[in-house]
Amino acid sequence: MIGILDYGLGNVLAVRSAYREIGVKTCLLSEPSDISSEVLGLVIPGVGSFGEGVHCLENTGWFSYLKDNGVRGLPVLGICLGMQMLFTSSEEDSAINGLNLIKGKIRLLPKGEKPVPNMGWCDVVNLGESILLNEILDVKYYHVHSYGYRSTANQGSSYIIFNGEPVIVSIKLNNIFGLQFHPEKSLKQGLQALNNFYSYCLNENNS
Amino acid sequence: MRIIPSLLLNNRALVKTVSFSGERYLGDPINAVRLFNEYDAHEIVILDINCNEPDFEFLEKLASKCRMPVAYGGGINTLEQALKVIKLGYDKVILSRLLLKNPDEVEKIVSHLGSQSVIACIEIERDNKGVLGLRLHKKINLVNHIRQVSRLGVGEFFLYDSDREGSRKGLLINDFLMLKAEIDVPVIIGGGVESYNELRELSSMGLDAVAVGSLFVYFGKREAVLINYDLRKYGLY
Repeated sequence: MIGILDYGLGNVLAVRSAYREIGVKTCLLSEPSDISSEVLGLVIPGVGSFGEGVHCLENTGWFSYLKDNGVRGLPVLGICLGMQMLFTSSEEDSAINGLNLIKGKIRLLPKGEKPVPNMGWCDVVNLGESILLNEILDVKYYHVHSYGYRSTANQGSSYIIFNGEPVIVSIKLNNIFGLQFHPEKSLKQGLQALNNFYSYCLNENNS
Repeated sequence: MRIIPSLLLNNRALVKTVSFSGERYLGDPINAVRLFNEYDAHEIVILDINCNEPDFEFLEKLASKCRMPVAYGGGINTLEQALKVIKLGYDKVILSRLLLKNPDEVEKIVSHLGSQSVIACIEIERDNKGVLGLRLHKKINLVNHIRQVSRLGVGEFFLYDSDREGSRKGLLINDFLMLKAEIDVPVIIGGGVESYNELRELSSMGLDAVAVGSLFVYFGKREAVLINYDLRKYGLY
C-alpha cells in the first residue's frame, strides 16, 4: 500500500484516484502514527506555496518524521511542491527551512520568452536510466510551477529546458524521489511513473 | 499553445449558453469528462455558472474521473473552499466575483496555494459604442481592474468574451491581444471559437492558451451534441 500524506495542502484525492486507476491501494495519512506495516512507501502531494507547505508538514508532525526517516528509510516520492520541500530552501519563502534531504536551493524559474509560471506540457529529457521515467522517450508531462531546481542534470535525473535553462524535474537520492510535474495528471506516462515508484517500494520491501 | 475544453455546469448538469443565457441542457458532465479522458485531452476547465458555493459532493465525483489537469471555478469565496477544491483533486481554482468582492481573500488564497494554482477570470463585454468593459461591474475600468488583479499575485488570467460566448463566430483576437499586453503571466483567452481551422491560425500568434466551449461539444449546423476533440487531425495536439 502507498501512503499519501494528508498534511493539509495538496491534491490528495487526485493522487489517490490515479493509483486506484492502476490498481494500487492507498491510504491517507494525517500524521506519522497513521503509518501501518502495510505502507511500503509515502507520497507527498503538493499544491501550494513553500512556506505554507512546510508549515503544514510541521503542524502534522510529518516534518520531523521525514527528517528522521532520512534518505535510506521508507521510500518517499515528493510531487511538485512535495519535491521542492525535500530540498534545503526555496526563494519562494527564503526564511523557511526545507527538509534538506536533498541539498540545493529551489529558485524562481528563469525569465525569458515563456512567461512564469511554467504551465503546460513540457518535453522531459532523461539523463541515463531513470527509475521513475524508464526509457520513455519524447514524452511530455504536465507542469505547473513558478519555482524549480535549476541545475544541470546528473545521471538518473531528468530535466526540461525552460527559457534556455535546464530545470530538474525528476530526481532520486537513495530512497527519496522527486517529480516537479504532476504524474497524477499526465495521462498514461504519468500513471507509469507512479507505478514505477510503487514497484520500487515493493522491491525495497522484499530486499 | 494550450487548447482547453471549457465545460459549463448548472445544477450538476452540463449546459451550454450563448452570452451566458439561453441555457441548453447537454448531458452528464461525468460522461463528458470520461470522453475527454479517452481523447487524451491535455487539460480542462470546469465552471459552475449558477452556484453560491462549490457543490463539493459532486465536484469530488467529477474530479475522480479527471485524468488530466483540471481547473474549477464557481462559488469559491474563501480560502477554506479553495483548499477543499484542491484537495478534491482540482489543480487550480478559478476566481471571478471574488476579485471584486474581496481582493484580500484572493491574496490569502494566492499566498497559501501559490500563484500557479490561482486563475483570475475576467468576463469582458462591449457597450453600445463597442468599448470593452467588465461584465460583472460596468463602472470599473477594465484595464485598471486587470492591473489591480495582477498585483494580487495570480498566476494566470482567463479572459472570457461574454459577448461572443457560445456564438462560434470566432474570437475577436485584437481585443484579446490588447488586454494580454497588460499581463505578465500566462493568459487563457476564450469566447466564440468557431472552428479547428481558427485554432490552427491562432496557434501561430504567440498565445499561451485558448479555451474552447461550443466547438468541442457541438457538431454541425444543427448543433447536435457530440463531444469532440479532433486536435490530432488538425496537427494541433
